[in-house]
Amino acid sequence: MSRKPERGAKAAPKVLDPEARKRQLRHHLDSLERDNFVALNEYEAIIATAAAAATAQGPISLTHTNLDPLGLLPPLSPAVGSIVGGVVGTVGPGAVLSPNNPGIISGGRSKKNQQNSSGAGGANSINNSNIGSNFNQNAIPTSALGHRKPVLPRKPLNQLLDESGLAAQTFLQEQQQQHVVPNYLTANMGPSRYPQRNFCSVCGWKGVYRCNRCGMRYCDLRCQKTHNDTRCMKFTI
Amino acid sequence: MAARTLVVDNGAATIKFGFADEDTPYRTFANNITRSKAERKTFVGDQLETCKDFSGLYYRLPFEKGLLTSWDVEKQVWDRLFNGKIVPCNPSATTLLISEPILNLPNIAATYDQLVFEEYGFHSYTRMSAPQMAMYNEIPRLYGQKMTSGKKRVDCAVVVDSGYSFTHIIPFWKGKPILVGIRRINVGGKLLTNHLKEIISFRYWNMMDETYLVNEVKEACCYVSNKFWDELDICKKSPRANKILQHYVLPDYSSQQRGYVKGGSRSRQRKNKGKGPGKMDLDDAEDETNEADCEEKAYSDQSDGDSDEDMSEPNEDEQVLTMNNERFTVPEILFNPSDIGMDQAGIPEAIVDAISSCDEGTNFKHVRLKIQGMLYANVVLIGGNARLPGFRKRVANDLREIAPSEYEVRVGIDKDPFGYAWKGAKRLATMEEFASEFKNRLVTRAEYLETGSALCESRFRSAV
Repeated sequence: MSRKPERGAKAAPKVLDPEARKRQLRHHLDSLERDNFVALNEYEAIIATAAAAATAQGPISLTHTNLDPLGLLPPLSPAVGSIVGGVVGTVGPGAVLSPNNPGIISGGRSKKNQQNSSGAGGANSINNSNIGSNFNQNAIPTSALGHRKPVLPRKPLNQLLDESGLAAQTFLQEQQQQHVVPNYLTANMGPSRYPQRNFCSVCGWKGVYRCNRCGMRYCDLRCQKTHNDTRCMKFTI
Repeated sequence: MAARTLVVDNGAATIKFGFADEDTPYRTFANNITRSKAERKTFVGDQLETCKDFSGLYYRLPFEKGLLTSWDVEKQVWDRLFNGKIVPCNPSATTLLISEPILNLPNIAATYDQLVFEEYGFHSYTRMSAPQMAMYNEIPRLYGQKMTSGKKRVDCAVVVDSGYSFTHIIPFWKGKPILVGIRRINVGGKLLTNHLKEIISFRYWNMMDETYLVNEVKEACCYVSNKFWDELDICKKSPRANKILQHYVLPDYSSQQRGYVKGGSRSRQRKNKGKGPGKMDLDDAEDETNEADCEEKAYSDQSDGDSDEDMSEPNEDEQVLTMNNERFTVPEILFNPSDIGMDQAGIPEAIVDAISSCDEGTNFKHVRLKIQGMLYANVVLIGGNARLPGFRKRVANDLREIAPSEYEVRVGIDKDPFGYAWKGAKRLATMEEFASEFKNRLVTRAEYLETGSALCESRFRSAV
């Protein structure tokens, strides 16, 4: 279960502002997309998802304090120093942390951390040499019928989306007021006309009231008590 | 030169495949590589059927957000399928009909071509999206009508494909998708399972590692409710008055491999079901999509338990998962993604949005209003999520509420929405009426090696 942060005799009342709540929501929705969904209260998993997010943006230097602006997480031990992020979306419970470069989380294109992170089953090997097409054309003999393995680099989805050039194409077409050819990005459905319905985060009934500190909903006093005892501010990021 | 046709519906969760010229139904297995922590073995694709212990399965999926990104995983699964280990398939003498995601990225599509021709060396192949495959079925049969004689295909329909990764709404005109009308909702079976995992872990037992098991629970217990707020109130009552409450007995992988719903008709089915997870139990699917009494089914599983021998088992031996309002609030996300904070509209609204955008293309100016009417009257539901009991009725009711009143709304679903696309593709490959169309779509290996994947792109997109 989650490691409780060190607290004094009375925890300072910290309230999440709307911006933090939105961030929390976005994080939650992203995590629901993962293949092996593990709860966010696992400390390593929090860092792993942050690293996964970092791959899309390239190398970032994230120190301990950046990760934890509210000071809720316990101090980093050297073993949990850094993570080589390589793969978006499928970091599992076995994310390996290399102890050599404490405090630096690098994106998939960084040259610093060449160690492979071997998740369970050796899933996440990084391949930094995949510039250009998906296949290295020269590596496949033309008469291949399953005898030679082609180089099959694994690119994260964001990279593939960038390479497809669809965002740029859509943008240009809109700019020049041409007919926008529908593609994967434009087909995304827009927001609903109807207002959001709120459910209690504890029992699932109508969530009429909201916690002052973290913004999660509850329906009655009993659920509020459960929420305060177990969940309030425990899963923030 | 008789090349056999292998029809493969390559989905994000499962692969449905079979030879077109055989009469046997399609077979299915999971399209991923799983690693069992308990048995310390890795299962590629269909090897999962040999697994004894499904707890703590770690998944590696080739698909990410519905697009095929992880080719090393997919290649391993395809190796088993195409190199003859499962079906006698000889690629150089086979024509491959494979499915791709809707609005696939062009760079990913090029990789499909490369793998099929250069790695496996298929004789010829074609690629289409699953709803396009489904259009080759006899759609009027879903509404109890026969196909108009002389026509081989309906003029237009709207296909709602709700699968593992997402849900698409695609209007079709004369067999081709109307591109401006395609809508995508990012809610699929994966999100529903993950959400259910989270809720269960908060409220009952910690099942965050048990993707496989929670998937089973979802398929056994969840249904789509037609009277949402009423049923939510019912769930608050005491267990005697609460007919929605269900107990799902969790398997303890030593004596019992599968969980079951306690005291329901399904528990009898599950007990008799000795098959592995890979095979599709068609009877089960038929049972669950029986339209006539889907609501009674949701309640009856609890009430006819008195005579069943399950109730007499002592409760201490079994770990029981209580499914209360989760049974219908989880599938509710398909209809209202805003329930979990997602800023997208649900399926009925998306259908209306998709159809009303269909009068903007220049092709349709002269049939402006008429095509919308025809589209509303021919809505087809396919995909794994369509198997949820009550799905069709809910979509029809909600759509009728918000669609313009002058149009008739008909929503149809096959007895087996899961394999409907595969069946359509099989018809395309075998029936004579479609033979010339099919031939026009194919790209042979020789042509590919000469020209490259640009040819594939243009031929698959323009062919009907």
